[in-house]
Amino acid sequence: MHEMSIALDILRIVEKTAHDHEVDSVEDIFLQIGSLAGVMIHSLEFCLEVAKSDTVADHAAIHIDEVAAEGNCPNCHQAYPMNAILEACPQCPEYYLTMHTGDQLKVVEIEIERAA
Amino acid sequence: MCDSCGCGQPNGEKATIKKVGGSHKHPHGHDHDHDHLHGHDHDHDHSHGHTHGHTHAVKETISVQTNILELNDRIALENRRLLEAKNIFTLNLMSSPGAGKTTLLERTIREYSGPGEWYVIEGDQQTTLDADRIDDAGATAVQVNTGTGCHLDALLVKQSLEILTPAANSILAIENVGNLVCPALFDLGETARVVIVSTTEGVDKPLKYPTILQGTQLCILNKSDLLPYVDFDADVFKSNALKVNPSLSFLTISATTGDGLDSWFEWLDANRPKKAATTSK
Repeated sequence: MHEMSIALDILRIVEKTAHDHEVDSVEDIFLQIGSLAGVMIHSLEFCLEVAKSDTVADHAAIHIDEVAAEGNCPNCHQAYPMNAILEACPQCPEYYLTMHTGDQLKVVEIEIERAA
Repeated sequence: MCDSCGCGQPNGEKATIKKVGGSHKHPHGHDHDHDHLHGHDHDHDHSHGHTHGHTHAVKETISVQTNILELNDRIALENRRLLEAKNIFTLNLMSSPGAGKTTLLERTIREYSGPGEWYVIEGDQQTTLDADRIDDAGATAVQVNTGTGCHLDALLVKQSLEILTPAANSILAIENVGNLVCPALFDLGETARVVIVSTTEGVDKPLKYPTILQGTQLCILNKSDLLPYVDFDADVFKSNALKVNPSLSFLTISATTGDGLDSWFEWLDANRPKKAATTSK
């Protein structure tokens, strides 16, 4: 359910960026969401769809780059994909992987159109 | 290559502007690089290398690179600065619904003998039932009804603080909405995070909901009076929780009978801002 809060924060960031660049309409929004960031992507997409009405992003297309989580083993120092926040190293089962990517929640860029 | 997103842009470029598109308003994802003149009609819609009669628009990419939680985190930082300046010990209490947050707070407000008044921000979807209980116990409380919202965020706490105006050297307990998922992501500006788990829940809770324990200092195992009647192995629970957060501290209490409350009061004494402790003498 916190996806709606996240969606509203995304739109605040987009609206501020649009305002700073003096545009009143955004064509595309590019997001980066880690697979272990604690956000359900289809739920976030639904919330964005609802929340963007009557904003600068009213007709913007949402592009979500889901970043697969990966962590390093503190023992063997190898990197492995992570499917859960708590994931043991496949080689050294007594050690847990430390996530180095996969918790991103980020607005990467937006695309706008200006009359030439 | 840019190391923040892996795109082809060099590092450190704030706003990158590139001209990529033609005149048509169309969905993205089919920019052609065969920018040649077509000598025949197409019935589909794509970029041409020649001018049509309508206005050209230039597409711009604006780099944003902003953490989505940054707005919440910025307000949380303001809250934290305000609370620290007044030496207010601020606790973010999180649990599933029914783990005993309000009962623990009621007893604490009545029985904790440490210095300072208690202030409470009560987060619930509906009703002022909890704030009424806290009020009866003797603390100043505000109730935040989140409606359909499943957590408190820094802005709700900031607005609550404007109404609550807690005194210097006091203790502020923020009772989050009962939920083990959503509150974890939102910093409120607290001094410490406390997660309450009751013995009627499963020992695998830490493994199923690891995020809530990750930034938490103290885990209170409540309803210890029910341990003889439920299938709950406290040692297994603790070992699961330590897998998620190796620096987590534990207390086992019963907010109903009062067992173990002394250890909670000692934890409060030990973790309060030191300056508050000295000014209280």
